[in-house]
Amino acid sequence: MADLISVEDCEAIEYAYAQGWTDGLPVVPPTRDRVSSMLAAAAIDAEHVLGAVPERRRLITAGIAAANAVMAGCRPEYFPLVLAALEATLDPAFKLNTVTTSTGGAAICVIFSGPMAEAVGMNGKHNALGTGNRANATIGRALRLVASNALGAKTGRLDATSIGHPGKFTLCFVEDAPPLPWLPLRVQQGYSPGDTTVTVIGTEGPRQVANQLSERPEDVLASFVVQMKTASSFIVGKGGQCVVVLGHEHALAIRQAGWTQQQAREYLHRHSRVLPGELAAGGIHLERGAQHDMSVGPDGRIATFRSVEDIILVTAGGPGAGWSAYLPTWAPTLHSRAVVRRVRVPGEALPDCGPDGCALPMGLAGPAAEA
Amino acid sequence: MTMIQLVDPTLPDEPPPVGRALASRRPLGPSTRLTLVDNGKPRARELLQLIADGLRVRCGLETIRIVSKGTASRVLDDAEVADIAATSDAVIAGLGDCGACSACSLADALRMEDAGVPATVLISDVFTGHIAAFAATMGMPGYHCAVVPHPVSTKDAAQLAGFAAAVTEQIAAQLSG
Repeated sequence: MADLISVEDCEAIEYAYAQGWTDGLPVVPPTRDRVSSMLAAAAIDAEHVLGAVPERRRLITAGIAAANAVMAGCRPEYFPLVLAALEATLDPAFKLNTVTTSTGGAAICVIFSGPMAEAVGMNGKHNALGTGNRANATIGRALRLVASNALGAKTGRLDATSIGHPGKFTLCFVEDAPPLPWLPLRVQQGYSPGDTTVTVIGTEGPRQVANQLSERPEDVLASFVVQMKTASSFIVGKGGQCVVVLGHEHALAIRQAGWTQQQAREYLHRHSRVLPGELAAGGIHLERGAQHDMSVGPDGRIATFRSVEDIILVTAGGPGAGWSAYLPTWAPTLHSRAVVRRVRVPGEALPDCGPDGCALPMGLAGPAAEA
Repeated sequence: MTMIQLVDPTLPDEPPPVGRALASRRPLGPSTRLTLVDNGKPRARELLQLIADGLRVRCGLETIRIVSKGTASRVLDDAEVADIAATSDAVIAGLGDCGACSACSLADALRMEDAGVPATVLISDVFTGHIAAFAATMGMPGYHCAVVPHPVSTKDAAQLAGFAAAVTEQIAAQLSG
C-alpha cells in the first residue's frame, strides 16, 4: 500500500483540499481501513497493475484506484465496477492521455449494463444521468479522481481543458431494460444476458432531446438527427461516436412501430450525414490537408459517424414525457474510441491486460528505463 | 485530538528521472537532413514547411523531408522513430496548438532526442505552461520549444510566414546547440 499520512481526524477533509486531492467537492478521507475494505471487496492486491499511461510514465495500480474510489464516496461493493471501468479507460484505443488533456474537456462517460450494476443500486430510471444516486455519482467520480491524482490531469498541470462541463465531475449510469424484444446493451455488444459490461466513451455533456408530440419513429429519430448535425459540434463531418439514450417513451414509440434497434441506428447513421453547406451555415469550414478526413461522398454529404457501430443506443430514464439524451464524443475516432469490458466477479482470475496495456512501452518511458 | 492515517492517493507529478538527455548537437549546414513531423493540425504542415524554407536559406539545408503522423493525438511509434533516426540529423515536431497534440508532439521530439537526433517542438504560446508540465512528467524538465502566437489555424499565408520567420533563428539554435 502507498505511503501513510497522519492527520487529525477533524482536519482530514481540509487536508485533502490543501493537498489538491479533490475535484472541488469534499472527499471521504482515504483511511487505511477504508482502502483495505475496497480492495478486499474486489479480492485484488494493492500492487496489482491495472494498466499504463506511457505518455505520462504512469502505472495505475489497484491501490491507487481504491484510495481514489474511497475519496469519491464509493462503497466497497462498487469497487469491481470501478476497476472494470478504469481498466477500460486504460485500453490504448481509449487514449486516456488524450481524453484527459484535450482542450475539448471530455467527460469520461461510463455506461453499465447488467445485473452487477443493478445489484449495487445503480439508477437507470428517473434522473439516470442526474443527481441522487450514490453508485452512479461516485463510480464516475472515482475515475475522474484517478485521472486527477494519478495522472496529473489538473488545471494548470496536464489537463488543458478550455471550458469544461459538469460531466467532468461524473457521468455514469446503468442502462434500464429496453422494451422487449429489444436487446440490452451488453447483448448488443456480444455478451450474455447474465454478464455485466461497462462501456467508457469520452463525451461532451449530455444534450436533452425533447419530442412530445409524435410517435412516428422518423420524427423521434429526426429529433436526434438535428442534434447530431449541429455544425459546431467538433465531430460533425469528421467521424465520431455517440451515445443515444432513449427515454422509455421514445424507445417504445420506435419499437411499437416495429423497428429494431439496428434499424434505428441505421436511420441515425444515414440521416446524420451532413452537407458542406450545412456546416458553412454554422460558420464551420471544411478541414483540408489536415488530419481529419472531411471528404464529400457520392451523396454530396460527409459522414458524422463512419459506421453504424459508432452509434451506441441504450434505454434509460423514467417513464413519462418524451425526453431523451444525446452525447456525442468530444473528438473524432481518430483521437479516441469507446471501449467495452466485462465486469469481473470478485475473485475471478485476472486476465492478461494485453500486449501494451500493463507495461510502459519503453520508448516513451525513456532510455534509462529501457536499459 | 484523534489522529488517523490516510493512504496517499496520488502519484508524483514528476516521476523519477529516467536519464533523458539532449542528443549531441552539431552546426546546421548543407549536409544536415531535416525531418518535419507533421501532426496533421490545420496549417501545421504549411507552417513547418515555411520554417524549413527559412532554415534552408539561413543554413543551406538541402535535404528536407516531411513525415505525417495522421493524427495529432498519438506519439511516434518505434518503427517511425527508427526510420526517422536513420534518415535525419534534426527534427521539428508540431504543431502543438491544443492539449493532446502539444503533449504528443513534445513526446515525439523527446523520442527523437533519445534516438540521438536533435529535435525541437513547435507550439503556440498558450501551451507553454502545459508543455513545461509534460516535459517534467516525461523526464526532461526545461526542455526547449519554439513558440508562435496562438491561434495558428485562422491565419493567412502572410501571417504564417511572419510566424515562421520569427522562430527560424531560435529553432536553428535549438537544433545546433
